[in-house]
Amino acid sequence: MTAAEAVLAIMWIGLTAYALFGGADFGAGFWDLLAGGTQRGRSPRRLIENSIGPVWEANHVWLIFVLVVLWTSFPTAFAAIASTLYIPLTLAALGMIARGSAFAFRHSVDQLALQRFFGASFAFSSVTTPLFLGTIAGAVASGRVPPGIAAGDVITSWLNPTSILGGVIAVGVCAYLAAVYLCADAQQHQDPSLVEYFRIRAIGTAVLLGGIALAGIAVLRADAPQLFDGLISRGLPLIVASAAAGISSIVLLMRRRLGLARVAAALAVITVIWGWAVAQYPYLLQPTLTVQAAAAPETTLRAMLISLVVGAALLIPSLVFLFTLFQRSQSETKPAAKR
Amino acid sequence: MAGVLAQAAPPDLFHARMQMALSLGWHIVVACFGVGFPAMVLFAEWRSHRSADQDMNALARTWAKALGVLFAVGAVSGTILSFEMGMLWPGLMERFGQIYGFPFTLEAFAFFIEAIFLGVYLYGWNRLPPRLHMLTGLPIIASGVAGAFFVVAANGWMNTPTGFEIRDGQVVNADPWAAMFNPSTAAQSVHMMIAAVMVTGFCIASVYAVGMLRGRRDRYHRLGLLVPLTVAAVAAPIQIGVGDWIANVVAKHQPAKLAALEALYQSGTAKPLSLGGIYLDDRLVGAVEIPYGLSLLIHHDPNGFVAGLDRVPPELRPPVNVVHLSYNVMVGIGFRVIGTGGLAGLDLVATSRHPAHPMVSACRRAVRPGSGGGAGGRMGGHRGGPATLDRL
Repeated sequence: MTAAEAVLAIMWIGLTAYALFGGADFGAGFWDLLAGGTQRGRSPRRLIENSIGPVWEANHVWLIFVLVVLWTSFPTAFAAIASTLYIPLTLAALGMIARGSAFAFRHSVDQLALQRFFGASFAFSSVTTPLFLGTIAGAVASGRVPPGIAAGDVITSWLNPTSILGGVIAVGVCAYLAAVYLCADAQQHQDPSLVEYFRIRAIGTAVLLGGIALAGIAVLRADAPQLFDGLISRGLPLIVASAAAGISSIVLLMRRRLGLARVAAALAVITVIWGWAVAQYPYLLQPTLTVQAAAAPETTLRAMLISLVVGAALLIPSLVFLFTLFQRSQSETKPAAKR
Repeated sequence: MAGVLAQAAPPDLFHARMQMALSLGWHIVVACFGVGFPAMVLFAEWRSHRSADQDMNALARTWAKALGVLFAVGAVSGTILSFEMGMLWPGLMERFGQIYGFPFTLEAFAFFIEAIFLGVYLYGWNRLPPRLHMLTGLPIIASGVAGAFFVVAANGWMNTPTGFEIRDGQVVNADPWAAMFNPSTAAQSVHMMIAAVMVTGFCIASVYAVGMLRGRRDRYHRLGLLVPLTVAAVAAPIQIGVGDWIANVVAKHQPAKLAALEALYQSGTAKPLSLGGIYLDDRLVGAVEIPYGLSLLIHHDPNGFVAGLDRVPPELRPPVNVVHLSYNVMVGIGFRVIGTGGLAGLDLVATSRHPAHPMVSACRRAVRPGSGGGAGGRMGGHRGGPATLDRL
């Protein structure tokens, strides 16, 4: 494994973490959006807030991490992606602004109307942000971002069948992860009605997502042949593993094995993300720009590897501390109103 | 107006600059709280435990909540900025991301640690024993300061780029460590950290000052004013020395920038310091001049030589008015708040000699919780003087 591949692998771990943790946050906003009126939606909304409150900021630093590693280690790819895809990036950024400020301020305002406004903008942007990030993934996966500054088509690069598939799958994955996680959270709070509430939604989303993924095979075959070839050859074991994990998460949800369902759901997402990476290897930007060609010089990559290892040594214990602290105390305390 | 301020830039470049200025101008103010505020919150919590001080406890909790909101806003605006690095400046990133992207990576880790421990600190208040809870605040302080260093190092590189060579138009010999420790990093990062403490201190104090002007003069409000005001008042005068340091770094490495800051066209010796004015056709009109001022500031010698914009090819001259005037405004505000801090200090010293003065008893009450037991003695300082200033 070259230094460039090692750095890229670490970046991809960061992207996977963003999908698992940040994605669950977006998905929580998705369920917040669909929770109904103020009265009816009160108890799911409270569980959602209780679950994402402490880890909210940390989950979204993963995206910054991915961006800085990309622009330092693969600057040509970063410049190409950011300049060709500036429209969906701007739209995702607007969603993040709306989402972040709404989440921060909806507890600081007293009037119900303002709280509703911030609540709605939080929920709405929780859906639009992963949607646009998904279209960006679709643009890269279908080879529509050529190297060079704004060398790709600024519209069709992200408005195309693969991008739309990417956007829909991104929203679906967020909703699915969030429902499965929240289901287990509700169980820890010993709230059976909320467990059922999110269990039904988790199963429904999983089935729907499976259907979309099946339809997606046809879309990728027609619209992203290079990726498709990689997926059915080198990437096939991971894609099969993803399908198996997804199906087992449905079975586990039906059998009410919620902790294990959480693991299976996460595995289904991890394998899809790594399946994409394996299928696209050795190209960073299909069809021409390889990982080696896009990589920064050796001195930079070495400095990056050193800092990534040292950083991980600080970061991983801190993250474990954060999550265990709140998982443990969640099972000990009632979901009291926060902030 | 925009033309006078920015002079002629291609429209795309102008818009990209304005968008970056808006995002960065917003982010840097919010980010200051992530650097300067955690230590103040932790100090308040420490005092509340040490002396079972209910008011300090209430302050610590309110401040922690505010810090949480400000950090979330800073996290979002920081994400937006990292998008903009690519959307607005892809050419810069494509060529030089490999050189100066490195400190940004370290900053991402610092930011991460800060976010994690802020989550622990905010939500662990009632779940962790006090000592452990305060310990979880220490990484927030450390990573806030470290993050400021890394980001400013990247900015310092943009001022004085090092750690690479250009051969036949290609960037070669990349050395990200040398890029991080470029000539501007030290002075700029110290300047930024002290500025962050000043912004935090004066802003938080001003909230309680407004409350007091509206008649809420209880101990909670007095403490809310006194603690951050003291911190900021101590930090502010240090910034004069740091400002001199950074101006000398600019004069040495970026003479064109210094000339624009001072709106100086003609190079020469014994140059005056010009305050205000409008720069038109290579002349500064309507400025107040302090004879020998600029030469003295740069060289600590009245006859020192200062290079002006006449040494810079016209196409490389920076826009003068916006640079000169905002620089003057910055220095002016700096001295204005140093004055505020000085007045507060003088007031404390003067009134401490006249114990009957209402300000003294106000301060005494402010710094002595409860019935004036042992804790009051520690906080109230030696010989009965209000020692809050030298205690911090």
